[in-house]
Amino acid sequence: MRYFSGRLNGTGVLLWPVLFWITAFALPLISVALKAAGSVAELTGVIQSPYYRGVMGFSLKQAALSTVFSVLLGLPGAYFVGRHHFPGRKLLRSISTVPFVLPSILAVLGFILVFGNSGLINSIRQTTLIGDKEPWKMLYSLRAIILAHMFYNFPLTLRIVGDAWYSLPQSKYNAARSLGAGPIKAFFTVDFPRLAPAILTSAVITFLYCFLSFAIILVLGGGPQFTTLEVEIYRLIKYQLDFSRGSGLAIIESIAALGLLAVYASLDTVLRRRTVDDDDAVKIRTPGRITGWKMLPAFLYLIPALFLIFAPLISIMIYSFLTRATRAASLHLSFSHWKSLFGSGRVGASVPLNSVIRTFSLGIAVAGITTVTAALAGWYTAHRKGFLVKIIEFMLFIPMGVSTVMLGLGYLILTNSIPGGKALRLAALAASHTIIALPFAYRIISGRLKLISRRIPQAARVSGASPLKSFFTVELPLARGALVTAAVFSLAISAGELNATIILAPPDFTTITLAIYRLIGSYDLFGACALGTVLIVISIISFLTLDKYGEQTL
Amino acid sequence: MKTSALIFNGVEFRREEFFLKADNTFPAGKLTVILGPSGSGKTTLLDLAAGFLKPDKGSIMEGNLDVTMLSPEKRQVGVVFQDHALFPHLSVRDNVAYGPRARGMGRRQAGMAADRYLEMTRISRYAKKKPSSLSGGEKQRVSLARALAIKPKILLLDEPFSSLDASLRRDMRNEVRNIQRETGITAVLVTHDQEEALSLADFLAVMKDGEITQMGSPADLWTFPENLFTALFIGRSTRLKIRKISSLKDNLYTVETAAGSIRVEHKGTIPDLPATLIIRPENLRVSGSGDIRGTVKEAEYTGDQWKIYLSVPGDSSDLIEFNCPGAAPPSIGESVTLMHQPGSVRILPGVMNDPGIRLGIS
Repeated sequence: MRYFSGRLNGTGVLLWPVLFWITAFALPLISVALKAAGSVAELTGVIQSPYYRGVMGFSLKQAALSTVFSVLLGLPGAYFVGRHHFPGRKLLRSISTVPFVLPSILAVLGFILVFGNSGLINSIRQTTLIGDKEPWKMLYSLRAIILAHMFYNFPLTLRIVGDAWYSLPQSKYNAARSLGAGPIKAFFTVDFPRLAPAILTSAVITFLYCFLSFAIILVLGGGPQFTTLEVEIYRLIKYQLDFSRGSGLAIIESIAALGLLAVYASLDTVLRRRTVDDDDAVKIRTPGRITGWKMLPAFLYLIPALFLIFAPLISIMIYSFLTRATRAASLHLSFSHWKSLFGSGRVGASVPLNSVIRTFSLGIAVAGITTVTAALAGWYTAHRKGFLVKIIEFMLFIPMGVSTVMLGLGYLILTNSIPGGKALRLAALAASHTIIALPFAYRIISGRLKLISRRIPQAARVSGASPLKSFFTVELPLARGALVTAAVFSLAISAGELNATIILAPPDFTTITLAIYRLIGSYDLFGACALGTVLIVISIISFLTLDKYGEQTL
Repeated sequence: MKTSALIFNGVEFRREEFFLKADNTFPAGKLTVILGPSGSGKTTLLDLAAGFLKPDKGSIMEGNLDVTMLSPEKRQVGVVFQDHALFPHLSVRDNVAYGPRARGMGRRQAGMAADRYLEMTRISRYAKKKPSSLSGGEKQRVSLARALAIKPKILLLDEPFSSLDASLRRDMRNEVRNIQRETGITAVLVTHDQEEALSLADFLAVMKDGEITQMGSPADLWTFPENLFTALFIGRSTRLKIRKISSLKDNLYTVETAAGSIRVEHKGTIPDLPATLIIRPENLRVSGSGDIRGTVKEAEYTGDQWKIYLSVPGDSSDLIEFNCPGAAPPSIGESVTLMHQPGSVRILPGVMNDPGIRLGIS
């Protein structure tokens, strides 16, 4: 039912979000497509070349393997979170969002610290093993890529499947048990078919993340044999300045990703249709407790899982207070990296300090634009129904499935074709970050606005408030938590963004992620860790805000 | 408080399958209760009165003032919502002061006005609290205070007691009744609870499928229901399918049913068959010389008396219900004869299994 006098009647609020979306998202992608279409010969050449076929094959292979292992590692956790009560259950569920808010460059840095040649694991081996002192060589291999992707993605399965499991009515499983099915049969005949859509969803998202993964491949892959389309596109445009071929590859990559999404959509419909709930089953469930023999598998799972999440982060923070004079020298405590970060004692600011300042200025601008844009669109879709709402929701969904390197390429093509120096580049950088953050910010804000009962603004209206007054005195204050969350989350996304940034940032505009990337490249891991710690703090703040206000919307 | 009648003039409102028609006056200074099953359009009627919805046709008046096209904030209507709809970010006092403030009163004055209404609804001690810390009954009091604080000409209450437990419900009912009497405000209350409706209403309106089917005093509707729906929706009744009606003399008829030939006093024209005979349980008593015969099917003890259900041969939709005082009810399977007052029986068009008479009581 349409309550047309209960609220502001403005399709006008969509003007800015739509204009922004067209300029900052559609236009860059169209330029990439046009560039690719401009050289069809190039495109066919790319498809026929064995080298690019190899790259394509490796992209798919590493994504598939990473997905299988991430899902396998996530499922036991989903079972614990979804079917049991144990101290720390909620905490574990919350912690599973950590990798979600963690910039990929930090995952890379933490990974090197833990699994690297002179990393945590090898140090432990060296101090405990007597005979074999040969370091365990992990980096720069397919194994490294898969392990890093697992760290990054298994919590996704834990979260999505765990939540689905939690909301499955226990009664159906119990019915199967009382009818004579054993626990395993009952699981596979009753619970599993209803979990399948959630498992599929987490697998598809994981696959997409890994397929489009950039920083992890860029640093941990290395060499032509471990390169993916995303990294290859970056190399083409950054080092060979070959925009046509880059665009061609980007289009091929997008078609593959979209094709996967299409298959997923139809598969998901089929799976869900088979398991439509016949009734509003009362979701009364008495979760099991982990006691006795069940403690062992729980600990065998939780300890490595928590290690995988926390060891890299804790290592980063600890290493930021350490240093080593030469590569062979031993570690000792030092604040030098933190001092250089705050530029103490010197005139003018250091590179690390500058990168922090730049990251925050950019992040605050991005947070502002993103929040306003998402709030306008969210207000409209929360209060209206119909075709236009569906279009807006779709528009604000697809940036999540688009390669950020391709987005950067699109901006590069656009900014090269119009005059405007550094300022234009910076504007493009901010716009690209905004488009990347917008889908998340929109979900957080519209999720909250949709929860406000339509009766509340109506109560304000009969009390005598105009639509505008009702919006400012009732709806806006009620959505404040969501707005703050969206802003903080957008800032964190901007601060952690590397893909578009590495392509678009003007030469002297070094952000935290760029600085970390370069420091890793010059083997200055300790310096990278100081900056990494700053990024961790931003992520933690973003995580805490999200956990408090907006977690259910992601 | 100035008050005025709420008038629906040929109002029509259509949304897909649903069609609402209203041509009624809710009298000034009185409490009118709209009673109907869920989905009958009660809340939609209130939404039209408040201005949340606009009618497709017709006009809505507050006394002499046509408010059809006025937006909610321009009307003088207070609304108590089913889910309270309190502003969760404001204190109780600020919730109540919101209306006066929105209508241009200064902060201090609005606060004082709020205090007055919080006192009236006896909730002053929670003035500084946030709504989330209140119980359902307390929230409802705040909601009532907030609606009254704008000094509305008309007060609309949408199932205000549905979220309260039984004893609290009775208290709040009295509270609302008293406040309505003290202020003399025109009030329209919507409910699907017939006990609530009968105990509160100055006027009672029965609503069905988007239309008010009958409106009058509760006693009128109880004694003289105009249609089968009203008769069966308000109170309990014996219903017997009529086979034949023959005239005895002026206004006196014999009605053939499965339970026997029953004498009926009926003014006005006799409806065509199919028709149903309706008798209230309190108008029946056991007697050897009665017209009505049946076999005891069930007996329910209610504490002060027995409720007896009789079955009659033939149509299963026929049901005789009467009250039997005392400790020894007739036993199951026993044959019973009942006596009635010919004037207390109604002949109404339609039968129970007629698809037009869906009860849909929730």
